[in-house]
Amino acid sequence: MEDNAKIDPSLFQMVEEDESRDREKISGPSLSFGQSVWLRFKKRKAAVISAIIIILMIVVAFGSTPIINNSTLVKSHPQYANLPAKIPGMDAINGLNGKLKQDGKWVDVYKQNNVPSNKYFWAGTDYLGRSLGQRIIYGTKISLIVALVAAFFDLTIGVVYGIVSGWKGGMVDNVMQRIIEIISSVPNLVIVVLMLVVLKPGITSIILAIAVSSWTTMARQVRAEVLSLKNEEYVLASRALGESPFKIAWKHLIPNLSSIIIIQTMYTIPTAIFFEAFLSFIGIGISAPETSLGVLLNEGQKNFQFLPYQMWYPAIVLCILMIAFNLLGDGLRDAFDPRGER
Amino acid sequence: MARYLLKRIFYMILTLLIVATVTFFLMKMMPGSPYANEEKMTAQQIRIMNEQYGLNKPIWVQYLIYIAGVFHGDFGVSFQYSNQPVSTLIGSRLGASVQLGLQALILGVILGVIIGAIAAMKQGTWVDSTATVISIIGKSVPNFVLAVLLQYYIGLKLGWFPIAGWGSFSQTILPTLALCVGPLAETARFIRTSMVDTLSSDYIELGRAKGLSRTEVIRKHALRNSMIPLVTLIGPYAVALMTGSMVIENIFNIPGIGEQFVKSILTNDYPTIMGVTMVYSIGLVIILLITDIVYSLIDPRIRLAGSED
Repeated sequence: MEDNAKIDPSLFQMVEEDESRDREKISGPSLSFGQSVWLRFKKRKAAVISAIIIILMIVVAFGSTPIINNSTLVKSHPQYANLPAKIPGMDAINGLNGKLKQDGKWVDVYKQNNVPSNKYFWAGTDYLGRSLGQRIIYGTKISLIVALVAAFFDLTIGVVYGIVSGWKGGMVDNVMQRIIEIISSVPNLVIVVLMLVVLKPGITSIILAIAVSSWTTMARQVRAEVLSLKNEEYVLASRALGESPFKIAWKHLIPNLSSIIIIQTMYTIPTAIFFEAFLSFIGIGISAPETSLGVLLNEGQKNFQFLPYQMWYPAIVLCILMIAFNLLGDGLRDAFDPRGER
Repeated sequence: MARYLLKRIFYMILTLLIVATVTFFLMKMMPGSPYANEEKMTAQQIRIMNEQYGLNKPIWVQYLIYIAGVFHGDFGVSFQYSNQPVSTLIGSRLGASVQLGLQALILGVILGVIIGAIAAMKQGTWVDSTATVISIIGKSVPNFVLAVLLQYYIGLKLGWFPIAGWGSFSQTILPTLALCVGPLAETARFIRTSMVDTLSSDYIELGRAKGLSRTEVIRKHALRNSMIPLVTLIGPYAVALMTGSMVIENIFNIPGIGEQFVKSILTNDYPTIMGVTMVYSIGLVIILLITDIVYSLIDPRIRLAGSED
């Protein structure tokens, strides 16, 4: 044995570097989950542009709060009523230069109504002479508030409900699922409408009504995922070590649920925006003198034949908002779940 | 199967009972009286009216009477429409809504399948991108905005179709178009994803290797298999069409239950609101049950008796 220890180092030979060893090297930095999601997200141009548009809209809508508030919006200026858009430097473009098509001819409505020539309304005015641009910005803010609060309820009620239901299992799960089944066998809109009938119409009621009806999809998806997660070994280990269920939920379940939660939230938002516009449009949501995109559409629709811009502008803003959130949702889904990528 | 059906029907009835209970008590909590938009009435008149409609009885008696009535298809008497029974009112309006809904559903699904299938076949080309843009826009543009635009530009400016009303087939075209966009967008997206999956499966390759033409493989194998999961979308379609009907019927002045619903909300007509809510829920619950059964018939791998997880 002792003899064996004396080995001549010259007997050893360096292994030659060859390709097969290189192949096993890890090239490139190892990415965390968040980093790879970000990398995939960046590739989706439509989603990135949508995100930028949404951020811009949020900044403009909420940044306008000191300038545009309800008290300035309810003031009417009859001398400026129903003026079309007029933007400085756009004199050549009909429709943006204060001219309106009347009986097939473009007429300068600003001159007709003796509006001072230095007065500009970038998106025109409504039938009470209120700036349409300001009202659209304010309406967008309302839509965004509704959307964010709906997302918040989705995150709180939906996620907690789903986790509890999936984690407890058995009888608790059964009862909780039946409750969801009952809620979802009534069309959401009917629930929202019934709530609005009972509550005083207004933004708070709309938010509450949407909150009550919007969380069920989230709860279902979270539950389904928790059912499989709770059998994972790391969860079992945690339980065996005596970790409290709250801590397990917070440390193990929620991080693993994050992609489902984010994607589902992104789909709740456009639905909530649609509901608000829809309800205000048919006259049971937010109503005049309050402003929202739905109210503007409702008012614009009445004069659409003669003053089409009064409906077009809010409609365009609403559509851009919806498209941006839908595209962002798609982009996030693909970024979080590359299996779906094609 | 029979046990499962019985269980489902039991839950259906339970669901409807709860919906009826909740709507009943919600309506009782509602601010404002049904007489608010009548001319001034004397206390005497109001008392007589209350007696006539049973509003002077204790609330739980009213509740029991209502529930008993619902099981007989009796939803009470409308406050607003010259004492017509709500069931007659709804019955006379159901036809228009169902016709509009079915037309929109059929048109939307057919167009959606075509667009989705073409997109999947031309995957990655401009055709695919165009189809994606169509489905995103269809999903994002609210149908009431679209309805107003269609009504004005196609109905009024071009004069191709009547702008409103109900009766002749040409009057149904614009509302059907406005309503079908939702199902169209959803179907196109769904079929595209599902078909891209199917196209990369082994039996499609086998079909091609056997020497079948591309169109034949797509028609006989790919499309048929991609359409099975479409059945699961019937429930969401029904919800979207019910929601859509409320506003589309209003815009085009169609005598359907959606329009009725909005009208009765604006006039505090409790019995009609409750009746329409029940009709919507009954419709949806039945549609969901049929969906499950049809799905298990088409795709035997899905067994009804097993738990839904």
